[in-house]
Amino acid sequence: MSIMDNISYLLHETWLNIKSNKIPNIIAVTTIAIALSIFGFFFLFLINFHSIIDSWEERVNIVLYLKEQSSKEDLKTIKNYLASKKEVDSISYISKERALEEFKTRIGDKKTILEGLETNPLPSSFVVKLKKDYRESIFIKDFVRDVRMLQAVEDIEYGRDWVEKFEIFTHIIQMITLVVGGLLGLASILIIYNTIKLTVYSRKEEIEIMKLVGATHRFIKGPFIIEGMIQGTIAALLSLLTLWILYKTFIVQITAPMGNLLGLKQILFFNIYLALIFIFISLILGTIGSSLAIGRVLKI
Amino acid sequence: MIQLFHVFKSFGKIHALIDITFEIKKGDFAFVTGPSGAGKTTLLRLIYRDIRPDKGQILVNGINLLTIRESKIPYLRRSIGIVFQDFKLLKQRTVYENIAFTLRVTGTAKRDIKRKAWEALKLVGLTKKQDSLPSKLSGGEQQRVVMARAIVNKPSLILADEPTGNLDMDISMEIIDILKQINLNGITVVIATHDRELIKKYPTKIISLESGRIV
Repeated sequence: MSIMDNISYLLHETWLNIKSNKIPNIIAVTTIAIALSIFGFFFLFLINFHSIIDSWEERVNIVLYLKEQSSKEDLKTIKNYLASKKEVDSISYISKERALEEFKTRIGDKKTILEGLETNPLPSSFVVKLKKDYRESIFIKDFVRDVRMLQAVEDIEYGRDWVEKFEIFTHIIQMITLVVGGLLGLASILIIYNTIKLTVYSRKEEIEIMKLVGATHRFIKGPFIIEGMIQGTIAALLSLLTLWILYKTFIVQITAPMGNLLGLKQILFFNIYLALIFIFISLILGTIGSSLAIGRVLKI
Repeated sequence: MIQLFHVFKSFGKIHALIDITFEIKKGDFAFVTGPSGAGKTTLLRLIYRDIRPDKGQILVNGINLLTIRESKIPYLRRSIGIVFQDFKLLKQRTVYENIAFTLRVTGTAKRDIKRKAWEALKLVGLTKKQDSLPSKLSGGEQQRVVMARAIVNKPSLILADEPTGNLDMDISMEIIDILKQINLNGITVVIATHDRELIKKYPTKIISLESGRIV
């Protein structure tokens, strides 16, 4: 039997199997799609949550207040020093005048309280933003310790309490998502496996006949495994479509204002790579599920 | 062709076969007979290696069924055509597809499938029904499809387990006639039946079982 004959046999048998078992296949694909959608929904929550965390982390600035008598030379030294640090993403200098301007804008109509001032009491400062990987308190502390050595630096502020509490909060959330995600993932795998197992078991007699007429296990398994792959792929597409419709109709409209509030510029959906990974994982689960199920039936 | 030496088989506490020894030669037409529960089906299942004996030796076509590797069993089955009382046809496939399926799963080249299936259906006189579903056929016709399926791979041995069990006498005779015709082409045929009338009409080699023993 040639390779072409083998391929033609596989496709022909898979097609006949699907055609003659429409209802079980529809039920299986729907069940798998539901399981995947639940997991997918959770996954969407997760990527959006991470996006919020990132946007919050981005707000972590380290402000270096400079001494009143700092010279231009001092400013240059500090700037060069900061620029040489691997943790630093961006540096911006705020002069005394600009600090006062910004302060005036911030207090708005309460400007009158500044009227009695003869000199500008606000110090000049450098606002440092750290790179994404260095926004954790452990790196921030190290950075602050180094920068404190600079003579012209009077004080440093970075909302230490807030950073630490925020880290604890994200760790707790990460633990919860890990546990919930793990359980949901496991539940999805079990649902997918059991669904495929049921469709395979419902055709036990057919498999028995194949064995009796002398089909090798490889020949029996082939069409079932391809069917499992197709079920997995169609279910993933169906699930992505469901999530997309949900995303377009409900999530964006209802939660977008909330998202803005939380610092999320845009509610995210799967990008093309994540969608492909999602389909691929479902295809693999379909393949493994059908291989295990058919393997068990063949052993009976 | 088939040799059994002191074969024992039990299912739990039930002794299905006890110390069975016999030989069926190539080209034989043989009956295995006995009342229900005598061990006829168990005996056939041992021969097509659906189950293994507890004790004893079985040789089919010179192959020792106790030492045969799992992966070789499909190839043993291709040399054996099996006919069942309950037909075991694929209900959602037509007569032709049922036959073609057997050819496909045993690796027959695509170009030969149509011709071989047609030849088998011709032998059992069912070419006109090739597009029917099994459910649209009578019991006798379904059994003829099963026989076409059994011979399509040109086996050297046909095992028929109560092939006439569900059929009336006239149709039963037709079925046995076809099996006899197959046998005339040199294929060994072993029929398990409890029907004494049938055996009387075809005086031939008989292995008579009772409570798991040869009597």
